[in-house]
Amino acid sequence: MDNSNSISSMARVQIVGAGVAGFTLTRELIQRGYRGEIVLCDPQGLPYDRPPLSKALRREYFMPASWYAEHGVQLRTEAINDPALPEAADEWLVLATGSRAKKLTVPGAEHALSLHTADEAELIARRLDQGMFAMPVAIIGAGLVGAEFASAARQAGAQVTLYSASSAPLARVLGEEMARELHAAHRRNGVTCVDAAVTEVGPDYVVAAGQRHEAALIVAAVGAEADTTVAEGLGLVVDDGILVDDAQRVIGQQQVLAIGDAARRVDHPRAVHWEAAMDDAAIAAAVITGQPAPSRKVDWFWSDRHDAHVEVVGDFTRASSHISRLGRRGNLEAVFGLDSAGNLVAASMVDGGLLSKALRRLMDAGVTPTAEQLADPSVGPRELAKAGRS
Amino acid sequence: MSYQVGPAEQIPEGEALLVDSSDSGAAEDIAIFHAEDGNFYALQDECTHETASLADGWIDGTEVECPLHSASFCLKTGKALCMPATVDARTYKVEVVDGQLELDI
Repeated sequence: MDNSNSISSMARVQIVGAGVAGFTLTRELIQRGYRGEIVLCDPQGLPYDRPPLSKALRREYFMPASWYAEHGVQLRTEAINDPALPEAADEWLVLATGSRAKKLTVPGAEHALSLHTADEAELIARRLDQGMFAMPVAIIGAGLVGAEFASAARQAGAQVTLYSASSAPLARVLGEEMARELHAAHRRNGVTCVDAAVTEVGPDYVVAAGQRHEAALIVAAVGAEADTTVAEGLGLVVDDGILVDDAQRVIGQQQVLAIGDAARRVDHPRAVHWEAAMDDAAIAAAVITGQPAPSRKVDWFWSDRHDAHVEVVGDFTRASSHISRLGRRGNLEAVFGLDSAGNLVAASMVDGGLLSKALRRLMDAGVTPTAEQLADPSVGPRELAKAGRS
Repeated sequence: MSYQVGPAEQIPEGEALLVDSSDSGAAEDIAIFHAEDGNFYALQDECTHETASLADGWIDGTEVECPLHSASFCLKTGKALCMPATVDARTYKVEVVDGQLELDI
């Protein structure tokens, strides 16, 4: 019997969770020529991409079912609650269990829908579709999902009220000034904003600041948390995410990796965006195939609402001062965050075109343009990227 | 069929030109890129992920990154190099003849 063959026939990667992290790992393993068995498990069925859920209330598959078959990937849809911990050096368990919607904790919370899975997005889309024109929709929470859904519901012709305890939600993510500006933009786009916490929900109403507001559809978008149920069942180390090292290995485990929203690197805040999940997956694929791990890129994500394409590069929680860039009409184009040493560590922008690309490259290289260059709207992305080089 | 795009020098290195299908008679809009290896390449202009013009993208070496969601494509082969694109872009042949760009449509 051919020895190398028998080894490769035992080699196996079981991936639990098929969001962007689990799917990207599958794709990376295939691209890297991994010859073992790949088992991708998710009770939600054919893997789909999350960003379109709150933006367009739509399920978009990464790949057709035939692609998995063509590459010999086994897709399993039964729930995997207690996978076996691998023992052999060529057997891997990868937890890519993602996040789950945080629960609203006010009386009557069960009347609010959540918008986290494709099934939920499709249910909400049907309700909007079947509802009368100008159907009153209440959205509790004005974070990324709440804001994007407010925009989608407006486009569907609903009369939207957005409830937020803050007038600058996401300030820690977007920078205070950008957060305030984007929240104010909801009003210009026909959304009613109530800057007060919802204290009670009923079948057809919500209560905020002591006032009762009617609503035919109520959606709670109060954040997400790492889904660590499987990890906890296995007795793995969990603290706001499954704790992993820089190679995505679960602390104390040799053959178990965790990637994406469910994982948190020791001494780092938990990364919760799409691209960070792909970086995790690429690193995990390199570990499994014994190849050098690619470097992690600076954080970047986008959000679309009311025709504005919002992008954030870096991490505003590291910023201690801000520089704004105003357009010719006095509109806020971008906010840059600098740390206490004056290094560029974060930026948020609206319809920035190639600005985000320039900033990602600058931050990856650890280069900070001058305050004047950052604030001046006539300094275009390419010039900014070059300015950093000189 | 070949479409005369005009002088090659109209596209500085690191930039791109959109060739509208209504001008060229091609089946779709095509982006011609002047890559950082000095060569010209042409791809379908629309990103294979969502509606965005690759001619507005960021050219890095011989790759272009979509302006909207940063999917990147190999200019030589059209191969989708990273998510969110999973489908390759169509390539077109483009040549410089006597300083003029000729696009094979």
